[in-house]
Amino acid sequence: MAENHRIVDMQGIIKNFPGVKALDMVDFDLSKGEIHVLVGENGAGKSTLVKILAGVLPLDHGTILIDGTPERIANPSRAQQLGISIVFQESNLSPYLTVAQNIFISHEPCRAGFVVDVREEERQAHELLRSLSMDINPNELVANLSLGKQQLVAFARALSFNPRVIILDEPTSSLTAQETELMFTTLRKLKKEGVGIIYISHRLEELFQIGDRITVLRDGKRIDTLLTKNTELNTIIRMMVGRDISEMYPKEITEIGKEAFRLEKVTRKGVCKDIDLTVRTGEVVGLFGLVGAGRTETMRMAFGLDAMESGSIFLYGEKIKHPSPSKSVGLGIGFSPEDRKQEGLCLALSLKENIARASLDQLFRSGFVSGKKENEIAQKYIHDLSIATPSVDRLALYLSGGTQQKVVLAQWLCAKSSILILDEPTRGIDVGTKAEIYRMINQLAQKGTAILVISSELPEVMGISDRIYVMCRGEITGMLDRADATPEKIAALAFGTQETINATKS
Amino acid sequence: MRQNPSNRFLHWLEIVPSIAWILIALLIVFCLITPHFATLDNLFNLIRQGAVLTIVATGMVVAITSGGIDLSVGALIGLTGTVIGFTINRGLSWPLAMVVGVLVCSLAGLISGLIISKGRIFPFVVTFGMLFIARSIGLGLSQGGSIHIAGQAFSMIGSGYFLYLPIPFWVTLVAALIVLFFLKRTVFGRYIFSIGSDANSASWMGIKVDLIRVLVYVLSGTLAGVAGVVMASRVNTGNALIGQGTEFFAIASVVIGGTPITGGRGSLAGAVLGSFVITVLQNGLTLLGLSSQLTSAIVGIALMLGVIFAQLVYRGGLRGK
Repeated sequence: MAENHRIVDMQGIIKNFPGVKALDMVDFDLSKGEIHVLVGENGAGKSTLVKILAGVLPLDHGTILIDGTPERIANPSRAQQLGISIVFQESNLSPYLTVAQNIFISHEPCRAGFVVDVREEERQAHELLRSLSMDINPNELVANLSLGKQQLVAFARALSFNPRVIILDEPTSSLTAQETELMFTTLRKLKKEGVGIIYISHRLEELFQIGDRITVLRDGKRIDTLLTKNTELNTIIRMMVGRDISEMYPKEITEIGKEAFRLEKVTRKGVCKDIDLTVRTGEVVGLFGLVGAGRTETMRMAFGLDAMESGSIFLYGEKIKHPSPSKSVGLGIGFSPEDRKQEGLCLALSLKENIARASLDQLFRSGFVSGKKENEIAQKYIHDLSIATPSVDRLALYLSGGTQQKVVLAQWLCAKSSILILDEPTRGIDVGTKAEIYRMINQLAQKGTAILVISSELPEVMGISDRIYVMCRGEITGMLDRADATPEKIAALAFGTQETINATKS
Repeated sequence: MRQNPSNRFLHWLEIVPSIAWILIALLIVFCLITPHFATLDNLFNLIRQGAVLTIVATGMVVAITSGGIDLSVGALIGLTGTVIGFTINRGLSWPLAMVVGVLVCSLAGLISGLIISKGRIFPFVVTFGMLFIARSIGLGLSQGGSIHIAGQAFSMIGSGYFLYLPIPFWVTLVAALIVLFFLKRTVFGRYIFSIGSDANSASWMGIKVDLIRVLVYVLSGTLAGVAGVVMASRVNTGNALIGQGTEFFAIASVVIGGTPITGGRGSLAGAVLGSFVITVLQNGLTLLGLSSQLTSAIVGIALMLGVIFAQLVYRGGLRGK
């Protein structure tokens, strides 16, 4: 009986990329009115699999049956004709077109085949957004929307095709809790209407909220497909990683020394106000807050990337005059930005060049770069941080997210940074690599490095920090010791409960 | 906040493209310091001089918005004239010769577009190559010099009037309106924006990126051909070297008009106003008796100032919010 309702049936899918078997005989199916979750570490092949179904990538071998009929999905238009709609992981909207124009691009309401009926387009966009309870103006330029809103627009676009199959690749990565709930409500409604949904997420807790079945991929192979209600989180993690993670956050208590890095009354109008914050040697300090609380902006000022209006930065008790990035690096401060592709790495440079990038002055005092020395250094960090790469000459562009993050860390280790600011160091990174990065943070702290981690993940910040600062609307609303920190306390500070708001007003 | 006068000023700066203020300022300055500037004769002269650049700039803004560039347009202007001269001298009627001249440029655009999209080669390189090819064909047709175009009728396009205004004005207006319609109201226009911001994503959305790219260069080439007709008719000569450098003035028009060179966004109005600024500068400075070398330098300075001004307004506006 279930056979009759099967919309998508992918059989024995094989896909090779140069040097990698991205998918190896993967079977995957989707029934009507089902939410089928795909999980796996980075590079497991999830995105590749759905891109094949969406006609973006060609497959090497295998069969795709749509409603029991073999189909060749040669391009995205064909997928759209078959009723398959996809929301990609990376936002691919055009920033300088409006919301309505983005929603209907490639299927505009037209007169005479190519003249866009602008009014009709606007009307339909308005109606669609309203039916999805999205508070977005269809005439707004996409560039003016928050990342979360942009993702909702991409979602609305996928729905505008009235698809029978919707593929969502990491749809909630930049959504607020409310926006996520809004999306889930819509998904549940669509499910009732008989739409099949393929859902990829790194947020494992989400799977249990909405998933009917879970397929686990690892290294391009399908490990298993399970019913969500009969499955436990630990089982899935074990399947994804291929080994037991006894503890995700192997916190080791280290000896904490004297003050290393301190912010005093750092202020910039509209960004943050009177930020006092201290990190000591050997200490891991968490900086938690909701998106938009001003954490990244504050630390960018502390590193000298942006100017502050007032306040001071102290290094080992000594004030840094006119902080600038080059001065900070020279003094041994490292900054690993949230957006590692854009800001943390030179994607077009090789792994070894990236590692040496922040310490060229130290390594090559003569001014001439020695390739041999660069190789040796890169080899050392590849070994120390167990960086997965075929060679030191691999371009950063081709490394996975987790490996890229390790390269960013290696960059600052190579520069002998004694203070590290890590902005969302595990965003978009799979469970296995996450645990490795936490271990590295521990090791560094043991060697006396002072580490500040900006994080939006509550378990992470509680798992790795010795102390936790919480920011809300540009101010520090509280500081908690590891022993005192509970999710409730942190959340209350992050949302700015009534008492704290009153306290700041008076 | 909104009542604050300085904010309201910023708001105005923001919604009126900065290039419009530059143009207004220039017009006022030249009216004040140049006696012959604000005359009807000079206005018509400005229109005739500026038409070629404005038409080419409307094509350039499309190419740049799509994430590309078209360096061949200057050479295509010259090629059009020599093709028209060559074919008229061999007995073709002038309207037909004109059409052939424009179609040759469309064909050049088609070839560039095909190489760009099918060969996956940067537009900069391909259109740079096309520049030399077009120029050498032009030089071949004109035997290395220039061809006189016989007949009164053809020269009417450059020097005649329609409804009291010079014909080049109407040609420019129609060209600009067609491009405006193309960009704002047709699906192709949308796709050009989409391709310009990220060609990969555009293809994932089901847009036929290659086809749109080809169309962009056909359009740009065709408009260069139209500009070439206006030019050849004004001077009554087909000269392969006549449009030389126009591509750079066209790029300058687009950029000071507020279109970033990186693609994904574009302002046709800005490009048209930008070409006016350059034309007015050249005309006004010449009337002042400045040498053409000095004029070029001043246009260069204006280009930089224009871009800096646009940036300041943009940042100021952001802070104002």
